[in-house]
Amino acid sequence: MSCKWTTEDISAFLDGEGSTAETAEFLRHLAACERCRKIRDGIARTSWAVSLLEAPELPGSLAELIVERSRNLAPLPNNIVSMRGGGARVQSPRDHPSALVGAESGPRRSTGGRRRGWQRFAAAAIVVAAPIFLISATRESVSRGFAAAVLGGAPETSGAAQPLAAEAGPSMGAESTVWSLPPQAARVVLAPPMATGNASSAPADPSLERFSPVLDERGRTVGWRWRASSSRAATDHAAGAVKLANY
Amino acid sequence: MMTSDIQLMECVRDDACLATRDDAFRELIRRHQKGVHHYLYRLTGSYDTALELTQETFLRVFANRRSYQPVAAFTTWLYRIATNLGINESRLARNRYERQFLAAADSSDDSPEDWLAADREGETPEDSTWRQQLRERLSDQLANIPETFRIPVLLKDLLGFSYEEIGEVTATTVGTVKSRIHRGRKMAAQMLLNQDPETFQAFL
Repeated sequence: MSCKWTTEDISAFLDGEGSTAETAEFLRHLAACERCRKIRDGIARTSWAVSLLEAPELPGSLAELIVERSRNLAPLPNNIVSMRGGGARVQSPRDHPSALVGAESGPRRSTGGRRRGWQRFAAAAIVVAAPIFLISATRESVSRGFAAAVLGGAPETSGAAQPLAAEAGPSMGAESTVWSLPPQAARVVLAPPMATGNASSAPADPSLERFSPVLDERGRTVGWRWRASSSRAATDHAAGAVKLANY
Repeated sequence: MMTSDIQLMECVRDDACLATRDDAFRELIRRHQKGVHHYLYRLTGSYDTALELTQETFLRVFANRRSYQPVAAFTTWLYRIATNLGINESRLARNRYERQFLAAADSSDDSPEDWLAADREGETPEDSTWRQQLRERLSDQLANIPETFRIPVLLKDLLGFSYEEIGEVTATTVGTVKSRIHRGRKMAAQMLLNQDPETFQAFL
């Protein structure tokens, strides 16, 4: 007896990809056709053999490492988390360019022996972009309470958003520091000096993207000040050059 | 109820969730890192390379979070990124290999198979002979299946994607996926023929 189904069809039936009517017809046919049964068994066993392949164990710290590296991708703006229940909302700057420039900011590399991938990715990171950190809360009125900006994904973000004295450390990437902004601070245009200059040549090198908070007399953050990490870095930046040789 | 991948990704994208963005991102990574790494491992043949590309995959998810639209399953998007990275990498690796193939030929000493050894400890005795041979044989030989056919087979049999999803990941039609899975499996069956001639021969 001749079978109308190819092995390709049978493969698809096994995967549950045939139409209901077709599959039912095939199943009736199977009862009578030893050839098709054998084909089905062969395909099923092949598919099963592939599924036997075991996933190797991963380092337990992998997820944390990736999260940490992701923080370094976008040092400041994307770490400002809008709060619910705090009564105020600081609009998060959208599309901070450094989020798109690459993954080269991770200070740690997990395993050695493969620099090529990073170099390739670093090449993409040379696409320099503008850190436009215009945080304006004009769209949403700041009615009460304080806008809390959480840097670096602080795990505990109390909805009450008490104004904490900003203990402004020099680096503000990954620490779980809770920063609070007074209501009027939300109207302050928080623009690092570089953003107002040559907007298209901001550095992709995360070591250049350091900001220190500008504090008011009560120690609260009202803005951010650009800090180039060194004079050489500043020079490189001014020239629009990004040094990625280390990656 | 468990938070869906899409909900988590929207938290990562919008920074507007009660959970912090990092927590949502970390959860997404924890859910998918093993699958992504295993896939990349079978695609590139190297544990370390797969580990680096796994990081790169998630970092690209993060870097592109603003453009994420929940029109398709999150995993489709994730594996599309992983696939592109994996293909790119193995292309480079193949070039390297061709330049020095004599040195590398048939030296399986440095294969990352000892990574699998740790996993085998939990197996029952009756499991550990024929099934293990099958697994080792396939593990060794899988790299000989061209990527065009290996990728859809891995997505189907390792990760359980539907043909439609595989079509989205690989930017092909369902008909092409069907054909490629079939051909990829045929190649796999050819490699396994010695382990169970009767069963596999019927398929070939």
